[in-house]
Amino acid sequence: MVRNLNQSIAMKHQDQPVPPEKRIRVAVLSVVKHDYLPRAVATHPRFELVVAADDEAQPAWVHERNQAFATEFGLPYVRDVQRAITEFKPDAAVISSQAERHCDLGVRAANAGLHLILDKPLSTRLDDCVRITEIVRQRGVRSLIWNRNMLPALLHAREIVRRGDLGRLHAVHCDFYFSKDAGPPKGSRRPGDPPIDWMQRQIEAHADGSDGGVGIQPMGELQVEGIYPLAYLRMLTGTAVERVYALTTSHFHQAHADNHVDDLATVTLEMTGGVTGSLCLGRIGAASHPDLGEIKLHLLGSRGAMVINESRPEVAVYSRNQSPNEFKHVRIADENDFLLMDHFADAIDTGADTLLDAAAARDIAAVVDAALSSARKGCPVEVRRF
Amino acid sequence: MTLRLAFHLPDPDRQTHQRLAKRLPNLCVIDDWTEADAVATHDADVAAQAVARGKHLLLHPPAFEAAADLAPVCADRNICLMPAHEWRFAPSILAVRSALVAGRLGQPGLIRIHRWIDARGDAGSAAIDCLPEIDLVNWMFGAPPTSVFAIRHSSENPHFIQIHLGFRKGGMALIDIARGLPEGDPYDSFSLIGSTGAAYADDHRNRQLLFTGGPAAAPRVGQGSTPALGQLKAFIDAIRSGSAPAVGVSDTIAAMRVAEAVRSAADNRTAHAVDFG
Repeated sequence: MVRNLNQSIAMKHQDQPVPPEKRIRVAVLSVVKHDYLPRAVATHPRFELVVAADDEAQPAWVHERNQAFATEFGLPYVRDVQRAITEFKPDAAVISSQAERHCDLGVRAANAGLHLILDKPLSTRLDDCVRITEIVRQRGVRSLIWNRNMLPALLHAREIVRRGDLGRLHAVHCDFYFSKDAGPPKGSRRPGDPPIDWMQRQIEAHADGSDGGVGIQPMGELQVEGIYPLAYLRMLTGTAVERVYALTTSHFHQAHADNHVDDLATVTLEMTGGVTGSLCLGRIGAASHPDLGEIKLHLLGSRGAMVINESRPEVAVYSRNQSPNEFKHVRIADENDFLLMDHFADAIDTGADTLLDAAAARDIAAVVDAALSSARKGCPVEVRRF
Repeated sequence: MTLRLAFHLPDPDRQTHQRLAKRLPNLCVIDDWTEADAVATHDADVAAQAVARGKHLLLHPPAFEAAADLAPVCADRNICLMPAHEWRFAPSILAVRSALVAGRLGQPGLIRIHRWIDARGDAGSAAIDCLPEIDLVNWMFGAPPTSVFAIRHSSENPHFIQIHLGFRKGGMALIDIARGLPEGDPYDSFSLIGSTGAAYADDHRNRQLLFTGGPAAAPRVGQGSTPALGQLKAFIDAIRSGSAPAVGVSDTIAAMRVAEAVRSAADNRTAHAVDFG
């Protein structure tokens, strides 16, 4: 549904074709994870995909996915990132590789003068986040880390906050549960069976799009998804997180338990200006919600409060023989992808910062890093500031 | 046999409970608690006197602090002593509890509670300010927490506390209690995420739309007096059957001990590992 909506938006803009000199040429540097990123780029009239590329040394399954995308979009696929940049002279790169490679590909692209669209999270390693942020700054390129801040409900919430209806925000809370399975349930491994291999599990998960943690390094849900709700809170409060206290566990999925990463987490956030926050996040299993998951925001201010359901507006659709895997409520009027790309084009044109650039994503990664540290230590942890 | 029941509570609670009690069979509501078979009271002195006279007791806050002293006396004399944890009898909570007990939700992993009231809301004594929420999570997890962290809000908004609890087997709870809504409706939300299912009891779902010009209002569909009635029924049933009441003194004491740990954690802005035995 989102893809059809984006296509219809793109068709509207065909009435006013973008002249070639205004088009932003984009290289797709690895699309092994969420292809909705390069798809979103492709459907915006200001952007033009010109090549797909990846490092030759990547395994076969990476090349297979890259090639499939390239074939669908009629792009050349080049097994040499530098050669692709040199020959096709893109203006920007969209990177949807394994998370552990985001930084390396991003640094190389930024050093070549390319603006960056990066899948989340920025990186699994905080030092990588620092490195890419510095390179982006030095090179003066624009960067956008993919986010959900342009969903209708978030824009609505932002409008209400900016209007002053709530007064000064005191507390912000986000529930961010994806009701997706992630392989066999916890407790299903029989004695003598080997632990689930993380990479193999992620490769299998590609079919239903729940492979956000694809890579050699296992990633818990705080690392995989935490940037989304933390980006919401950052946008709505305009404040930074100073200290966190977190609890994490592997509660649902054998793969997470076997690889010692969280699939359920709670975080208390102490933010600047005395704002208090909290985050409840998890990959809680397909049975635990009729739709994508319970994603809600609770905001308290000096003059009022608000409860936001992130999924709205939506339409309920029920039918005989409906697949149990089909969401019963369909999100509508979702222009997040187009609005993000429009925003990015504007940032390139004007030199403005994006709503979630490398520096902001680095700060969020620092919050996640502190939360994981807090959960290990059992005590509050100060968030590293930059 | 008709049971004589008296309510020694402040108005309007007393009148509300008297009215509800009349819906229960074989129950006679009287005014003089000294003549009753069973007494519901918030007064610790009255509670002690009632127990001394052999009367069954539904103990309301703020008299919870007398519960520990009263419990052995009641046990010796076969007196039913039930702390009034009315919050457990809210239909929304009972629906979640029912799903949990039936095994539909699996092992509880996370409980999230929001309780927002307006600035006029009755704070109650400090001792019971967060007691309902702590009791609910203890009840659902089946044991008190093993770690406690809490923060109060800034001096700009002192009527706020956020409580972060850890339980055995990785369970966790996040509770925020805020007293500062504009005058009007409160807001309650209780969600439980379990290993095989989840339940969401959220006021957000229980709103209707009211169009009277301008933006629509969303009046709340309340749960009425069903919690108080359910609690009363549970108390009477325990008396008649001679079985343990639905809420025991140990539940209250456990919640109070956790609440004390919460206050300490909030005062010190640090996390405590706790062992409540």
